[in-house]
Amino acid sequence: MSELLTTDALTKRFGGLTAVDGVSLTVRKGEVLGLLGPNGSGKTTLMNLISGALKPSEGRLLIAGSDLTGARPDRIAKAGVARTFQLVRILPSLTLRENVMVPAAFGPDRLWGAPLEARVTECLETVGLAARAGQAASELAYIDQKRLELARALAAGPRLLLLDEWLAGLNPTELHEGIGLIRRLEETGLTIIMVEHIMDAVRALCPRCAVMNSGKLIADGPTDAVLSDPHVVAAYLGEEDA
Amino acid sequence: MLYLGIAAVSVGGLSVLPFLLGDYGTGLLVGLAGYVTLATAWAMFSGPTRYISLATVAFFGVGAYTVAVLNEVLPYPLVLLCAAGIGATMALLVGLSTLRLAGIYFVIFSFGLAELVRQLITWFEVNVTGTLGRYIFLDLGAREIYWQLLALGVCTIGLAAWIRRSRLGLALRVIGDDETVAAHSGINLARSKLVLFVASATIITLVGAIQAPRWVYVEPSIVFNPTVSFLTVIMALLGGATRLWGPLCGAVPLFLLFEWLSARFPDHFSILLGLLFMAVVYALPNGVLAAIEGLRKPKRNGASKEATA
Ligand SMILES: Nc1ncnc2c1ncn2[C@@H]1O[C@H](COP(=O)(O)OP(=O)(O)OP(=O)(O)O)[C@@H](O)[C@H]1O
Ligand SMILES: [Mg+2]
Repeated sequence: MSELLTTDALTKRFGGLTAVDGVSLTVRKGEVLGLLGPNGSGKTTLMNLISGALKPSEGRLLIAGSDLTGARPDRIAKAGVARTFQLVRILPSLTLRENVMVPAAFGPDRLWGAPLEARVTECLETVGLAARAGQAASELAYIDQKRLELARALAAGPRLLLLDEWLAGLNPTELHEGIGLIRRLEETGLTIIMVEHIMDAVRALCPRCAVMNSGKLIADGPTDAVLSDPHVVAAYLGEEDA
Repeated sequence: MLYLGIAAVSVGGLSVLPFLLGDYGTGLLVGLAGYVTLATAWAMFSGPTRYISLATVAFFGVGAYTVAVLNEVLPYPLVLLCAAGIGATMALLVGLSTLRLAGIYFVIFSFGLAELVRQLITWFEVNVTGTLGRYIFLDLGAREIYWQLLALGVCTIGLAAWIRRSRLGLALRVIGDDETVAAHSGINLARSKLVLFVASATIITLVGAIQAPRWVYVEPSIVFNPTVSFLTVIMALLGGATRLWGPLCGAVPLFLLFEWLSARFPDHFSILLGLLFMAVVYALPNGVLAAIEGLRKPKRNGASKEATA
């Protein structure tokens, strides 16, 4: 299998705080990686480095073989990386349809006209919002905002999808649906990195797991092995959800 | 096709107006066409991005000054071309250095820019050329100026309509909503903003250039009058800066009102202008067109609420 993402000793400092500390990670095409770690361990910061929202202080970032260290987020998006945000971000003054159009029109595929419409409809259908395409995004309830954000990320036609606690804040029924949705994406062969605190979701969706603690990568491997690793249990699982 | 027909008939009607109205009326038409164009060009950039620019008169004044300096040296069409080129270059430099600023800093910078340009030109004229005022000897009457402005205005509205349907228009609306999402969707923030800023500023420069012959005598304090920037903003906001016809709907009544106010209360004009500015921003934050739509909508919402209650 070919390597889609490689981070080489990626580091991010905020003043005196090292939020991401020499993280080296490789994700192959078609893999689904769960990214775990206690609060403040640097998971979101790592996602921000991979998507270009933040520039690394040190280290290198390679996407599909090209060196994109320090590249602007729009260049990384064009290279096929799509993301959702931990605090959901929709475009409130645009309709659902327009929200989803954006990465399809400006991302790697640069669609316009009929192919763009087809992509938008397909992505809204995937998340079950097609019937409300013309509605203003500001009118959506929280769960539907999350769905819309996922549809928008999918509309890019991404090679790599970054989900930052996309399942957080859902009720049990919604969670069940959400897991089903991500499983279907997985089955299409999409490469995903998902930050997640919900262990059932991690066990259900991620064959492989990486764990961060204080900015460092402390474990990386098959999910069962990682979750029973004493270091991981001590750092993280011992606190709450074992 | 129907729209094109209506547009052609309207433009035809507008262009024969100077023959029906007298000299005073034609003078008003020049001002109207000028401000409709300024407000539409302003809203082209500031409407979707929500960057409030107070630099209108910086470009407008540079356009007028270019004509004042070059009118005896070059043929008129070339003078206009030079004005457009200078405006575009200036917008490019200003845009490259400021469009990374957050909205609030941009407002202040844009206001300072007009003053800076005025002071630079004054300094240059006094210390280098030794002439503060300049005369414009161009044989262009109010009628010819009006026709040029009408043509520019039509092109501006046409361009604005085209941008709204284009990829660039979508990019700017996304930027106005959330720059982070825009960037992560593949939109080049700096380039999209810059392209529109330069287009808008070039049109504004041309309005200044075309109107310049109306003054005959030009000096920096006349052509760099900050009121032009403020009027443009109020007009666009009153009509609705995110709508194609918004700036026009704001510019026409406000221009006529200002004409009347400045004739009637010349001493209190600035105060009235300030009050009106506040009233527009406070009462109609999204413009009259949105307010009219809003008046219709609540009825429906009200009805549906009653039904569910
Ligand atoms: N822009 C920033 N400026 C300064 N410090 C930051 C910034 N972003 C994150 N941090 C700090 O970096 C550390 C890692 O934060 P990060 O958000 O990456 O953690 P996380 O693992 O995503 O946590 P959570 O599970 O709560 O989402 C925290 O101490 C945080 O306060
Ligand atoms: Mg986080």
